[in-house]
Amino acid sequence: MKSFKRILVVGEENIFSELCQIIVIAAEANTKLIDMLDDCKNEKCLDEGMQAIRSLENKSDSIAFKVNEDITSGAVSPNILEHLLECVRVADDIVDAYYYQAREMCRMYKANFPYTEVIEEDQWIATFKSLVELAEQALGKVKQALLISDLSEILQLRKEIASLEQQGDEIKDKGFDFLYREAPQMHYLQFYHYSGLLHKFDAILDGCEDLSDLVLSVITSIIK
Amino acid sequence: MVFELLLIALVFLAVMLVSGNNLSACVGPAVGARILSKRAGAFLGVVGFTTGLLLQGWGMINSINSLIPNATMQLQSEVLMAAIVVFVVAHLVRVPLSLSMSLVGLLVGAALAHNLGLQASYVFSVVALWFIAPIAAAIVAFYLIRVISRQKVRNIWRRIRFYKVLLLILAFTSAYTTGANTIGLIVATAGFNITTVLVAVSAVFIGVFCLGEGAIRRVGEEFYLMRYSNATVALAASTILVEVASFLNIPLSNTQATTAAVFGAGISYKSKFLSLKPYLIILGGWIVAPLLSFSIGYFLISI
Repeated sequence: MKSFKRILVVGEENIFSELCQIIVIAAEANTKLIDMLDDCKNEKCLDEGMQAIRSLENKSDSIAFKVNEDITSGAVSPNILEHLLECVRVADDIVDAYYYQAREMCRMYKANFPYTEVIEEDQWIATFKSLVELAEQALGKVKQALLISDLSEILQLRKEIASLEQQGDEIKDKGFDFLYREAPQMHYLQFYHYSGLLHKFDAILDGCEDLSDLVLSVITSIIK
Repeated sequence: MVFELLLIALVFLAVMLVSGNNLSACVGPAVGARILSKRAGAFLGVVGFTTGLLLQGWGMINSINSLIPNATMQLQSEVLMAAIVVFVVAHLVRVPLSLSMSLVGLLVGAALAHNLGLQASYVFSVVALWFIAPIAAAIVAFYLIRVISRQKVRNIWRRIRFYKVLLLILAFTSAYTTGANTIGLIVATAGFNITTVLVAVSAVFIGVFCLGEGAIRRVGEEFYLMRYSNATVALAASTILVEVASFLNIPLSNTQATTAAVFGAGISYKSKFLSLKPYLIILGGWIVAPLLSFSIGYFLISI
């Protein structure tokens, strides 16, 4: 009976559920980052948020290590092995991006460039929050894509994630337009800070899109 | 007595080589997909080969009676020895060669040289099946893949589970048909009796665990790069055709049917990247092996 159960184990399905744990961690990191953005003038809140995201990042690293091991030693079709390893790398990179954002926000505060009551800074926070909200939606859809078993639903989710990524691109472009307009009145560190955050928020959405593409690619190559 | 012992030794050697060589093609996909461990795959292979030989292998007596009736033990030994030498030489120079095709060529050559009353109509049906079987395997695989690709998948994982169970069953049936056909033919060449069957069963064990196990994972994974559906369809098509051949008491190479089915599955996709060179080499082997063996059987054995 035990051997028969082993035969029925679909390695790819298990890998996707394990991968889902990293996406859940990314969603938790997203929530922490929203809290940090909400209270970005409070050093204690920034520090606590950064520590929490650091521990989430460590957790994600160890899950990624275990999933990689499971991929190379489990009941997985060899022709999708590379794709699955790439899925893990992309998912882990998403969590890494959150840690980068958290560290960057703390670092900037400690470099004596805290967010102030200036109108422009409120605009920056609003921009970042809208990108984080898009990321939250995209992560939810990636999680769904990893857990469901209907190909047409996965295709639909992939489209929705691509559309969220496009919205993110537009917000990022507007952000850069604003950044370059304001650049002459800015310290180079501020310029670097906003530019880095914009790129990383976009990288999170790109990661979600890449992950959904990879999931679809894995599924179509094992099913067709 | 000497020839009797020699014949038993040759049956042992030939069955050992065939079971070691064919194990990876039969259970490789299941091991490559990690449904089975290497050891469990080898065990399944042993059970499949042995069951096929015991339940259906005797059917090949008719084949031998049609090809080389009233053969002496010396002639039987010479034919088996030549088949083993051809097979080993081909293996050493890395030319894919089917032992059953080679053995049939040798039997026909030897029967003609010794004027043993070979049934020409039977030889024609064997040759006809050798042409029809690969084409049929390719066509079956081609359309099966087309049908599978068109089907809407409601539950991906249920479908994969189905493939996995099917692969396991096909690993057994593929080994079974090899046991019934190729191994049955070898045993029948030496006379299908309790001694030769017992020797063959022990040779299956030794061949599988000593010669076959090493190549299982490598061949299995290479086979498995074809995706679940392709591997399943290729094994299914070859199993069906070899079983039909066994039912008709006609020797048919399992690898010949599998290769053709793999080709059929490969060309069924709209966008494909196929290297034709390996297929052409194998095709060359199908033509050269029986003709070369026929010549050896006709000229060398008759000397």
